[in-house]
Formats: sequence, structure tokens, C-alpha cells
Amino acid sequence: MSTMWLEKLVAYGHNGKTPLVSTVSFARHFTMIEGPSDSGKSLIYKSIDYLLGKKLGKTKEEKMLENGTAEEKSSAKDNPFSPLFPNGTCYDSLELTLNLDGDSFTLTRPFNSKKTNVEFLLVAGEKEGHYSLKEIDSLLLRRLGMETGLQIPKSKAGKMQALTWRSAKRYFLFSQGIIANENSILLPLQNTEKTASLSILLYLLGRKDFNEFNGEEAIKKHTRAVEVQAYLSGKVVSTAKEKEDLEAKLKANGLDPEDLGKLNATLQGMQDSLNEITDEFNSSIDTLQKINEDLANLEDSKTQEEINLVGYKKLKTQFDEDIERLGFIVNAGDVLAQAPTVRKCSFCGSEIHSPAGDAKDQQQRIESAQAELDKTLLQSNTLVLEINSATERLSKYDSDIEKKNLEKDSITDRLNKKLQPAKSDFEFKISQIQSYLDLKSQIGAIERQTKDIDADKKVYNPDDVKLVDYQPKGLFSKQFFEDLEQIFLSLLKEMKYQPLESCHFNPYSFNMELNGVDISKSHGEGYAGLLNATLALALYKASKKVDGAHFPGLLILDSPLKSLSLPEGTEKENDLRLHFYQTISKEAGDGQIILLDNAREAESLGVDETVDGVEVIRFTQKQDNGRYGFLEGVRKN
Amino acid sequence: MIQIFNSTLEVSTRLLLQLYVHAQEPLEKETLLSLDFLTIYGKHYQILQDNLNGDSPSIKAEIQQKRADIKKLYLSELVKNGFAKVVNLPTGYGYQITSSGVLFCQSLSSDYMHDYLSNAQIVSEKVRSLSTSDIQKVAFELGDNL
Repeated sequence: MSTMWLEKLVAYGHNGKTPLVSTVSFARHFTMIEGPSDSGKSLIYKSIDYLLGKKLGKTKEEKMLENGTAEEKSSAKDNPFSPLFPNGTCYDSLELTLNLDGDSFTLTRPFNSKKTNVEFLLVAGEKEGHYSLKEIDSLLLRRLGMETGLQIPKSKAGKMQALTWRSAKRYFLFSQGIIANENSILLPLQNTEKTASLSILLYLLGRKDFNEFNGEEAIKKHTRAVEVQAYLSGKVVSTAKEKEDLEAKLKANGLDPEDLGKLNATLQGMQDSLNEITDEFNSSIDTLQKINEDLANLEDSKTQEEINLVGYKKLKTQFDEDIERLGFIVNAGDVLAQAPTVRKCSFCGSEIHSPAGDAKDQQQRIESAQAELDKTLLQSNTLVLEINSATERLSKYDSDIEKKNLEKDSITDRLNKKLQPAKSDFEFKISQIQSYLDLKSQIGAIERQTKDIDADKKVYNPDDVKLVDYQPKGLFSKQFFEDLEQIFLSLLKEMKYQPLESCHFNPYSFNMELNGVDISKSHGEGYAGLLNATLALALYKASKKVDGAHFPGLLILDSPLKSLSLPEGTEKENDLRLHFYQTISKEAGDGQIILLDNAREAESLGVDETVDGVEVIRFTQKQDNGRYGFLEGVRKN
Repeated sequence: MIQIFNSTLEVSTRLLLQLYVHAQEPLEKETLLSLDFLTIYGKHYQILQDNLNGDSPSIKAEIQQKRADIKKLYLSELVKNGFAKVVNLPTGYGYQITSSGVLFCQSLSSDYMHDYLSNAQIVSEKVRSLSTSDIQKVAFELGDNL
């Protein structure tokens, strides 16, 4: 068994003028540090705990035990990185010299740094190096013969976590809060950490590994099986619902899901009929298109003819006007020709004879007008014929257009009233049958899927996964409990504890029962601390009897009797406190016990300081009278 | 080529018909030509339903032609034939139809002649209150703006 003992604790600081150094040296086997409240005893405990790997700040357990004032809580919150020393003490680092199997190591660790990953300085002989918290943890485990990276169960189902020195030291270092609490000191307060702590204790008491309780794979398998089961169950429900919906749709359409052959034949017949109707439909559409083209051509021709006719009529009007006008001219000429050729002057009354040229010229004009009149009449008559012809053609166009429109109306009527409805009806019926066939296919797929799901559910049955059932309390040997009971009882006898009727270790509460009652409860104010400390001492001693145990032979107790008050005038013979100190000072054996307590001097006299390796350090809290307290230069208040 | 339309025979016959309509009053040459223009193109002036000589595509060209006609000797032909006589007027001289002119007009028998006389009567009624200068203004100046 590897051993570990502490040689020296030093606190370093600087007050601005001179360096501050406070040292406490520990005896090889038993050291009692006594002194009044606030003299620095618990600070020593916390410093050792910190140097052995405690993280800055309070643990969950400490928080559960904490019953400090609001002001203290506030202060802790404001100074999260210096919970060790009171504000204003000017100390900033700690050093611990420890001996591991004869080798001396010095661990230095600052504590007022705001760095989250505070490094250790480790000096071993002439070698030194910086290490992280994790590295120091591994180093201590290794040096004490413990396996690094060992997986230990932390749950009943076999969830695992790595073994750490930090979590193992709870069985060597007992803080004031743990010692004084009303629960077993062998179990953490948090239920979630109990299984892991018991695994650690099993390991410290010699168990080599926990492979058979590693339930990680089984947990994974179980979790997966539960998830798959849940998925498959959901899938079955949704598939069944889908199937139900589809079948309801089929029935609503009046379809018989079973007679597939008849349905396919009906579908083929309908498809053929639809093709025929579609052909006729398309042919009618083509005809309609041709009629529309013809109609457009006829309308164009008619419009052109109407334009021509308007032009003809306009020309005819012009011809008529010219004919009238020419008739007027010819008539005037004729009348003029018949008028007397000899005229009298209106001024003098003499006869006027027109020159022969004038008469001839006039006659030519009349003849030209007559010729023009005849020509215009001829043209007018020809134009009338053309107008009549155009009018007839217009009438023919109208007639043709009317016929085409009738033909168009007839085809459109057939398309709208017969072909289109028939086509739509067939299309609808065909789509119904096709939808049904699709649904039928889907139902087949769903049925196959359901069978697969049932098969899968058998494969992924969580009940088939064997989960680990890890019960650590049942793994402790009966012999160990008996040894623990015997040692505990003998220690109390040595302390002259009364009454001592029965002693039994209850493996369920995992605590010692004295006179039928749990030692952490119902033994009077302050007695729980004494009995809990005695159990810690019993564990320290019992572990030495176990082959292969990993206990390092170190026990540190902080203020176990703080709350134990004895009546005034209690005789020395009945002074339980004195007997406790006397007893514990003798029980270190080849290991080391460090006891910090608020003892009166008379009580500490029970410790035989003449024995090698036994020492009492007294803090007086008095100036010029012994040592004031742990920290040099720091005074109360 | 012999001109048939707007020949001296045609125009002077129309002017004689105007004198026939206004037989009781002598008319100046410009007034006669203005009245003739209003009678054959009365539709343009919104006086008549139709234009007697058809819808001219260019009324402006017709107006220009009519102004040029003033210089032509249509009326002297009528006077020479004894169908009209020259009458002194305070503003100069005018023309008035003679009994031979009346007989000539009454001898005419074409549809155009009847239509012209009918239109000339309507125009005469419409311009009765206007002075001779106003009539010329209406026929030629307003016609420019059509």
C-alpha cells in the first residue's frame, strides 16, 4: 500500500513592504492543531484541500451545507476566486510539501488569480514543472498506486465516469460541514453522486475494476431500442390511419376494391371510348377552325365589296350631277340657238349682229356638251350595271356568311352539349378508376410496411436488452462491515463512551448504528460530530486490514467536536472530548492523522507529545503568548 | 380642248337665272357671282342640304376660280344677247334681267335649272338682310376658312 503524508504547509504573500510567510509543519503521525475560533484552523484544512486539487469556489456539497449569512454569501459572490482566505490578508499562494512513499514533493498553487485554469508548480527533488489540475490529479493517483483513467460506475444502469483523486479524497479529508452533518459521512449529500462515491470507496478498498458493471453499451442499446420502438409504434399508428382513410375514400367512390379484373376491363373500355370521342372532338375543332377561316375570308371580301360599292355609288352620284349639269348646258345652248340672232343694244336701241364665228363656236360647245353628256350617260349606265353586280355579290357574301355561321353554331353546339360533356364524363370516370388503382397499390405497400414494422418491433425490443443492475452497497464484503463495527466499538470503548449497548453497520443507510440509532442522528447536540469522526477513524483503521486497499494512510478531520459541549465541572474521568483526543492521537499507526479543533488546553493535554511523530500546535490568539494563529501578521478583526 | 363645265354659256346662264330670281332689283357683278357661289356650294355654308355641283374636294380652289371669274365677260355676253341690261346704281352700275332674258329662262326645262332656281330662292331668303359687301364677305372670305 502506498502512503502519503503531509510535511509542511506554507502560505505566501506580501503586505506591500515585506514578504509574508506562514508555515505549519506536520508531525509524521499525529498533529493536533488547536485554537479558538478564527485562529486559522479551518483555513489550514481548506488550504490542504485546495492544494490537493479542490477547484476554486464551493462544491455542490458545500453549498448544500452552507448556512452562512446573506452578507457572507454576497461576499463570496463578489470574490469568487478568493474563497480561501479572508479579504485583506495579502496572501496569494500556498505551498504543500507532501511525502509519497518516501519521496518529497512540493506543490505550489496560487489562489487569488482570476485565471480559470490555475497551474500547479510541482517540485520533486531538483526537478520542477507546471501542471494543470487534471495533470496533478493523475500524478497523485499514479503515485498512490491507483489506476488513472479507470472507469467506475456512476449509476445503477452502469453509466461510467473516470476515477479522479479529487473525488477519492473525500474518504481521507473530512471537512467540518461533513463531520457535523446528519447524514452518513461515507455518502455524499447529492443522490446523483452516491453511486459514484460508493464505487470509489469499493476501489479504495481493493476492487480492481468494474468492467462487469459497465452498462454504457447496454444503455445505448436500450436507449436506441426505446427510440426505435417509439418510432415504430408511431409509424404503425400513422400507417393504420392512412390505410383507413384510403379505404374510406374507395368506398365513398362506390368502388369494389376486390374486383380488379373487372375494373381494369372497364377502364380499358372507357379509354377506347374516350379516344373515339377525343378524335371526333379534335376533328370538330379542326372543322370549326376551317369555318372560322372561311368566315374571316368572306367578311374580308364583303368588306372590300362594300368599300367598292360605296365608291361606285359616289361615282354614280357624281355622274348624275354631271349629267344634270350637262343637260342644263345643252338645254341652255339649244334655247339660245333658237333665240333671235338680231338683237337691239340696250343703250342705243340699234341692231346688233353676232359675228358668224361666235355662232359657230357656240354650236361647237353645245355639241361637245352633248357628246360629253352621252358619254357620261353611257358610263353611268355601265356603272349602274357594276353596282348591281356588286350588290348581288354582297348579297351572296351575306348568304355564305349566314350558312357558315349556321354550320359553326351547329358544330359548337355539338361540341358544347355533347362531345365536351361526354369527354369530361369519361375523363372523370377514368381518373376515378385510376385513383382507385393507385390507392390499391398504396394499400398494398402499407400492408407490406406494416408487416416489416411488426418484424422490426421484434428486433428492436427494449425488453430484450439486458441492462446492468449495479448495486454497489452489496459489493462490500461482510468482513469489512464487521471489521468496521468492531473497530468503531473498540474506539468508543477507549473513549469511554456511554452507553454502549449495540453497534451495527447498516448497509442500506450505509452508516453505523449505535444502540439501534443512526450515529449521525439522535445522539444529542454535538455527539454526531464525535461519532462521525470516530467512524472516519474506524474507516482509516479498517482500510489497513484490507489487502490491496488504496487508502494512502492519511486522515484529516476539521473541527469534529466543535459543537460538543460537556456540562460544567465534568470530571476528567468522564471528559469525552479529552478521551477522544487521547484516543485518536494514538491511532495513527504508520499513517498520519491531522486533527484541527477548538480544544481547551486541558483537553489537548490528553495527547502525549512525547511520543515520536506526535505534535500539538496551539494558536493562542494572543499577542506575545505563543503563536497567534495560522497566518503571520493577521489578527482577528 | 373645248371647256364644257364652267364655260361662258354655263356660267352666264346661271347668272341669268340669278337675275331671274332677283328680277326686281339690279345686282352688282360681284354680288351676282357671290350669290351663284352660295347657290351651287350652299352645303359648305350650311345654307343648303346638297351642293348642286357635287361635293368639291377643294373648295378653296373653287373660290380662287370664282374670284378670277369676276374678270371674265359673262355678263357682257348676257347684255350682248339682250337677256340683261346695265342699270346705274349709286355705287356704280348693276345688271337687271330683260323681258328676253325672262323668256329665255322660262324656255329652259332641265332638272338642274329647277334645282338651281330652288336653291337660289333659299339663298336669297337667307341673305336678304345682308348688304352686298356682307354677301361677298360670306361667300369669299368665310369660304377661305372652310
